[in-house]
Amino acid sequence: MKPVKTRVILISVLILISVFSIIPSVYQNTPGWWKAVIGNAEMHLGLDLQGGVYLVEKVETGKAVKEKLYKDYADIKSFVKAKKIGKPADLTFKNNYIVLSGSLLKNKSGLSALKRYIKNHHVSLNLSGDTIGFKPSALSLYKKEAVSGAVEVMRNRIDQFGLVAPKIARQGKNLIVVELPGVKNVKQAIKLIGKTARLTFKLVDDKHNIVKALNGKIPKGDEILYHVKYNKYSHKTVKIPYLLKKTVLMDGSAISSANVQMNQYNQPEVGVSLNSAGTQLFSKITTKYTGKRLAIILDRNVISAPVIEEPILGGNASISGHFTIAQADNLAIALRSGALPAPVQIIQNNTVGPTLGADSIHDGILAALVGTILVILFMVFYYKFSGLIADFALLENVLFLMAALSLFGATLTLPGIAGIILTIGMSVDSNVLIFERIREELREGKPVVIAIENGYNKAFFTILDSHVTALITAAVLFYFGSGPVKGFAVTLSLGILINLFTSLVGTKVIFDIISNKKELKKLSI
Amino acid sequence: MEFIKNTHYNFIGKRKYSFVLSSILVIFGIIEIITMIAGTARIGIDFTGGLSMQLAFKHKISISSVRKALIPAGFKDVKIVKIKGKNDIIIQTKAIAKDLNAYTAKIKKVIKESFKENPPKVVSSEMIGPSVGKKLAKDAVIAIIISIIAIILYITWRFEFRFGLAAAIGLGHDVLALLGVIFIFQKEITLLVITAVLTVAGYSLTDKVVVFDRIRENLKIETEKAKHIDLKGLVNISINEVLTRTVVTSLTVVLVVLSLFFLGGIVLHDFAFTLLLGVLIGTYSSIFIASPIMVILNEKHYK
Repeated sequence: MKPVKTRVILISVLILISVFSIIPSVYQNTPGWWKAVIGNAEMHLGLDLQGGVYLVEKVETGKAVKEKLYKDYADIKSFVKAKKIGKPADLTFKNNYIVLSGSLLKNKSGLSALKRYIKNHHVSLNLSGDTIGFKPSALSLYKKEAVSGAVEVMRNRIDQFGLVAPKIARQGKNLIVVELPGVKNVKQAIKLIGKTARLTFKLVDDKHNIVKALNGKIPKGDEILYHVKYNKYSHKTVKIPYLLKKTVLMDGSAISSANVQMNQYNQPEVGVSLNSAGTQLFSKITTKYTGKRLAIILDRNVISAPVIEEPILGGNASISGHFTIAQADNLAIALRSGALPAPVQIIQNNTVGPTLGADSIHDGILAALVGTILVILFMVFYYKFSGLIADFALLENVLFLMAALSLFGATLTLPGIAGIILTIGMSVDSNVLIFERIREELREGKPVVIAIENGYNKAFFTILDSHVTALITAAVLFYFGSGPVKGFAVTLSLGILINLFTSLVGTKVIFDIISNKKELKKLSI
Repeated sequence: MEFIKNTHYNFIGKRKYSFVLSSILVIFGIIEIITMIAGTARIGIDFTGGLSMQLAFKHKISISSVRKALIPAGFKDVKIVKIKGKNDIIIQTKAIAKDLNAYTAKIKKVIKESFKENPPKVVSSEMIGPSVGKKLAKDAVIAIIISIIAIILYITWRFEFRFGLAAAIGLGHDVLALLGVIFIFQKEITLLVITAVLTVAGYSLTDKVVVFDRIRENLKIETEKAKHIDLKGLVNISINEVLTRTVVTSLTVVLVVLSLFFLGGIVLHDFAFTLLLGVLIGTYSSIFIASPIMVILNEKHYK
């Protein structure tokens, strides 16, 4: 007699747990307490199955660094001017450097004063020879910060979509991967995520003539930006030019919250609350420039340029600009989540429509079913009753695999389904190996019970070795693969591990039960 | 039920034929790799970068009419594929434009304007920048090299070095021969096809491990048998002993892969095709390539 009780209990419990944990993934109306028991773990459909979008965005870190340097440049320039070390024109801004020239270079004491100033106030900068540039350590830090900052901002924006399992992760040096399975309005989502959303406030230059400026005579320190307006009656976009002072008076960092509200004409507008520093700054600006026009600019588009009627001291303001509700909503989200530290560029965009996804699921399930039935029939045909036992192990294997995927909250992708199908095909391998061993033993004239024992024992290390080598390749696949391929590697690895259990323990116990009940003279194999 | 009983095939003796066949396949595989490096192979847009768009039209659509609409707009290097049994077409183009976003939008616009009576819907679209593809290709090569090294190490540890080396050569053979078949059938190398190749690598290894395991066992215990026969004979006996297993396990995998091939849908078609051929090649090479090579390695060792 072989003790089988423990193994029977173990397998029964595992089967129960598996069924219990799969149901919430398959049946949508599973009661809440049930879901809570298994920790709300559920299998999700990948975006190739339910539709959605996969984006890889490249953060233009160079631009973030450049902008940072430009700010320092302005400060250093004012220092040079204040201390009368040289003329402001002696400092020129080249892409990644500030270049010194003229009288400033000849002024030895001035130069050392500048050096000291940089050392004390701009720790990340370094003056050597005639150029000021970032220290290499600071440069890589800023680039890193730009990417992680962009990830944070994007995460805030994505949260607004209310998706079940969105993913956002940094990849490599300057890439961000965004996965939005099940997102409805793909176009709008892509637009909103990638919006730089840099809000700036600049003064409108009323003293100079805009027409002259448009003809190329832009006054020093000024720039031309446009307000783009869509006329819904004539279906034309109109660009209205504004002549603005380049200096940024205030930017989006002054904002603490933003919401859509209706104004007195029942038009949507974005109400903005400023933080304490922003409130102070804004009251200063509006006091100083009362009666002038203040342009509100998002990225490079002028949203509106209202006249400052009176000083605004309370820290609340509203932005109106002939918005639709959706536009106002997007603007509010963008302002709430803050600006991206650098512009981003989409370098990969996979969009899958929901119909294609539904087709894929249908085809995948059909292929899996047909494949399973073929294998099951073949095993019975070739190994008779023993084949049936192997089929039991096969079903166990699939069940455990699905349960593991549900409990891990894994994302099921189309290659993942292929992985499950492949697992089905390979899961009987171990049992075939064992059965062939048993047949050999029987041929040598050994009694059935001993043949079974020997078959399992002799096959054990072969099975172990072959599984480990397969696991090695699956692990490598996981390491190098992206998105869907990772899903494939996960299902394959889990399948291999589970198979080790089901084919060795799951089938052996049945043989033992049978041989305990009656003395086996013959084996149907 | 037994297909094969007490076989005594002389597999090792057939090695001349199998080596010739494999050499041809491997040479094609090397050609495939060279054309891949040279950039003339049919490499999917996941590696080259580019655009792929599946459009579902309301009514029947012909490839030529789509091409006719695209050529005057300046889209000449486009591949257009029709999906059987549906009013769907796939438009593909490799990365040529700098701004792929704008390029994608332009193609969409041209198609939508040309087929106003038969409005298409974008079922899926894929846009991949060229830099992404390069990284992917590099990662794939690294993955294959790492897995080969890891496997030599593992098998050397569990068996002997000559087994590890023979398994690794067999594995290299399988990957190259599979690429050779891909070359012969002029299939496109996509991320999924590479995934299939790596999966086959894993599968063919398990197969080799099983055969080698039997050889090792016979070397150890069957001193009675081993006295009278040389290693060649011993390997032959071992292969024959596990032949049923080899055939049956390949058969079960082939069964599921076939259902994947015929029923799994267009996305998985090439994937299943590669798996199918890979399983066949892997099984063949365990018997006809890896085992004879093990014998050859051994002969050198003892002489």
